[in-house]
Amino acid sequence: MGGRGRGRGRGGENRSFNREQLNVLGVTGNEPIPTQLIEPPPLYRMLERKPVPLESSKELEYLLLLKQDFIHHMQLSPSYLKMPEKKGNEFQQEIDKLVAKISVKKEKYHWNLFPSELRPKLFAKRIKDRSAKDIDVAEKLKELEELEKNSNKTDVNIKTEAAPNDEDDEKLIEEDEQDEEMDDGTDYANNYFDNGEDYEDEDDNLDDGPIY
Amino acid sequence: MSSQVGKVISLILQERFGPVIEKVGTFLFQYGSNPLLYIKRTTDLPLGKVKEALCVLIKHRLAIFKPNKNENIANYSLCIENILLMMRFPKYLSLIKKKFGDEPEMMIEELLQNGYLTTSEIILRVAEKLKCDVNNLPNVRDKFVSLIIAKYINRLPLPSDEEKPVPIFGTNETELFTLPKIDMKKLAQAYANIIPKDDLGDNVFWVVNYDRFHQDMRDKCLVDAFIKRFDENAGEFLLEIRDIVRKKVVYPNLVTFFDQYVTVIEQDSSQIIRKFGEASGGSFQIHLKEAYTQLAWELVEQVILEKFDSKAARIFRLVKLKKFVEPDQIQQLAMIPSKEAKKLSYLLLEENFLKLQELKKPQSNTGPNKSFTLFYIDLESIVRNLLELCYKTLFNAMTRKSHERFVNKRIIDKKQRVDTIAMGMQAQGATEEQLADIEEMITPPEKEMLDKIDKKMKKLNIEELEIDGTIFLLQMYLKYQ
Amino acid sequence: MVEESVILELVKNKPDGISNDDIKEAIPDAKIEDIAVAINKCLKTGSLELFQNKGKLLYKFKDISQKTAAKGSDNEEKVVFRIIEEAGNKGIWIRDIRFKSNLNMTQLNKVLKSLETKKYIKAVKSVSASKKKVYMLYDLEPDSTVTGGAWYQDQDFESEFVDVLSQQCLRFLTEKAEEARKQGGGPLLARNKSYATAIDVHKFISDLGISKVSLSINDIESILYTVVLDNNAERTVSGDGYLYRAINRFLDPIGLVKTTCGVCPIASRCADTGLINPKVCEYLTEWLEES
Repeated sequence: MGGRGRGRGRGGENRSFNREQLNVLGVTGNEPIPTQLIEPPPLYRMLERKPVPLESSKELEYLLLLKQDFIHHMQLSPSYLKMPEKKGNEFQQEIDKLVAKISVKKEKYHWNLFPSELRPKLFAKRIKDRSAKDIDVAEKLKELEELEKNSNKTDVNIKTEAAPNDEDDEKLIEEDEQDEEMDDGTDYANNYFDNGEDYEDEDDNLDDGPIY
Repeated sequence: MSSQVGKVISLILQERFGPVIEKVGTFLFQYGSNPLLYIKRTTDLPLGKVKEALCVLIKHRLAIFKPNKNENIANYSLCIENILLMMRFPKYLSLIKKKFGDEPEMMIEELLQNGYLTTSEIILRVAEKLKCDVNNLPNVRDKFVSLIIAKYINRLPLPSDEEKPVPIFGTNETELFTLPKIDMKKLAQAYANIIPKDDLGDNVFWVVNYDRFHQDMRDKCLVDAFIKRFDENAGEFLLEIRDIVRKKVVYPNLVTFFDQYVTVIEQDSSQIIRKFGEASGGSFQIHLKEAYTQLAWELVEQVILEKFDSKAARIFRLVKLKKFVEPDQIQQLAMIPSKEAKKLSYLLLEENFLKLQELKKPQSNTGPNKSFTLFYIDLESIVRNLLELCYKTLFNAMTRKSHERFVNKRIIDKKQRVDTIAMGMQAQGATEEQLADIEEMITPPEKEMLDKIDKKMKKLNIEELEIDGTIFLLQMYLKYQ
Repeated sequence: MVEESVILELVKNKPDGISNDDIKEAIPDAKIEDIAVAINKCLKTGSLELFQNKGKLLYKFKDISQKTAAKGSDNEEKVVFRIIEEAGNKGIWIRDIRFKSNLNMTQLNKVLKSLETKKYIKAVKSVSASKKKVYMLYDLEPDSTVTGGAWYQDQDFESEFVDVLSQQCLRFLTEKAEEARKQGGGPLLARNKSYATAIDVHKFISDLGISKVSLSINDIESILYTVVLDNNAERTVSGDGYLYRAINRFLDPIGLVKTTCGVCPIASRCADTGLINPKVCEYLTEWLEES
């Protein structure tokens, strides 16, 4: 609906007029047609009209606060999914992980409301070891601080220091990744990088009926 | 749905749910209903991520699913309207706060943040946030119940057959607002951590009823419009027609002059209120179609006034009042110099605010006068164009926001890290001094820079809120057409 | 029944023109409808001509035999004369005469010149386009669409004058409404007291003394109509005239007009990429810099 006209340049109906219509409009002979035909040199010509100024009000300030709160909440919530990181970008990744761990919390689903194909098969089993993990927030913050102060050293620092924690992290992500073939959750990379095999399996599952 | 809407949707998802969900959402917008595997193939995301993304979208009611021909798998499609409504969440919260107070606002907030929640989850979460006493739980429950009774929330329909691999949901409309049974004793025990919360066996889920909020917003727009055109009493009058609740103390003038208000509003050229019958004072109807048509006209006139000038708006209204106008009549009736009149009507034509209709003259001979041309207005098409412009404006504001963030990424990241550290330290009971030290990691020039960025972000965020208001008016017009 | 000849006799006796009232007075027993029928017939045959003078309609006698014989003119002149005659007091452009007469430009110019020197026709500058001339019969009073009426001074529309008058009319109406509201007595009374007629406004404008020329009631009605068109007043029919009153609008400024995109002249060329896009938009940049 409504996709014509605005936003996609010229064209469409009512754009060109025959001579008669132009005459009626008073555009005659060599009189130039106002605007459009002569492209003014500056791309953004002077705005003749300014928008009506935004007026701040208590109501608006509150709405703004609610809006930012909501977005902020969502960004820190388990519903905010990050792209799997590529290798070679590890430095960045370490920082992100550190920050992420502070708020890591798993989304809880009522699986009977979802198609079973979305369900992690190992969900029930995995759920146990979650509560055991408690991340030492203070420790992480220290690391962060270091990181900020001395970015040269950190590269090495973080790698060694963060290594033990990485284990936990992997498990957490693992639960999430729910790859049924990978019960033990040791091969972290396998989850993120498509080796083709897992999907072939899934394919078999899905292919036994017509999809359209 | 236009491609402009698709772009807006991508950005809304990106901002709130991150890049993965944005990718899945954009795919579903472009290709419509699709099974899991196709989504995985086209988006080239790990299967686990796609599943997770779909779960999040479904949980937040931003996507729905239906069984494929193969009943073991589902076809997923996007709820475009619901995604756009996320722009309106702040307004829902503010509305409910004004009407019901803080606790109901928190309940709606929990629901908006989580999509759906069980009865006990809502009550317990809000109670915990308020740190309220166990004895106060019934109070919290009552507020919750009042939201159901007033229909601001409704039950999520449950699967009719639990055994199916792809659940099918019932649509029993009558049960949407049925009150749940709440075992207060168990709830209190769970609140005091005597029994685990998962043991409550709660299987009624609640979601926000957007339509109910829109009703309120719809009425509020009209009341505001009435106050602006007539006065406070007239605004209240409109509410009374709707609520039939008389607020004699607050609006004494309304009671005294009730009949007069009836006459004045009824006879107003806007024709928004109509009287039916005379028995016991007659009854009134708010003519919503008429009302929102009036508001749409005024909205369009405002855009023309601000985009061009008052003379252009005058020409537009002339064509509106006359329905069809010959170009030559414009300068005369609108009293605008002919050159200006022509330039402006041409501009209005260019931007599709006016349309031209050519009529053949009865005895058509050759020559320039074989036909004549009339200006006319197609309001609905203007409204659709403006709606499109609104989505473009939203897209532009959001794009600019993320661009500003991108350009200033280094400094914003730094600030975020410092804030995170400070927050963590504070949680650990750090002293003021320690906290101040951390704050000082941001230098004064950096701070100045950050303030500037903040100001820009704020402006763009306000713009988004404001545009949503315009979108609402336009949508109401289209709804009642 | 009224014979056309009766009407024509009356008109012939008054070379300066005769009004409807004059005719009625002269033949008091005739029904008004019958007079109208007769007049219409005469107008059709061309033996009567209609003029407007100070808002009044006047009829003048036209000797068909004399003019259509066109005093020894050649055929081309006759054709062109008729075409111009048909156009009445709104006149006709030279282009249209050419189309209708099928004469070439040189011929036509010659004919027009000849007719002009004989004072059969005249060229009048039209206000609708500054360079455009229209031709009409010599003794016709040009229609107000051609001259522009009271608001034109040598084809120049006195725009500022009109604007000032429009503002003052609105001021009058607003003050009247304000006063009515202050007096109380309920919304109905307040509304009824806020109505004004063009006569009221005319008096107010005259008393202000801002107009050098004398304005008619009709002129004021025209001005008041611009106030209505600006959505600042409402016009209702009352008896045989109009009532005006100031009104408020329904909406505060809407969100869209508070954004640069809402007033953007190049919005239609704006896209995700390309030279005009939101990331580099100068209007946005400037707007964001404003405090």
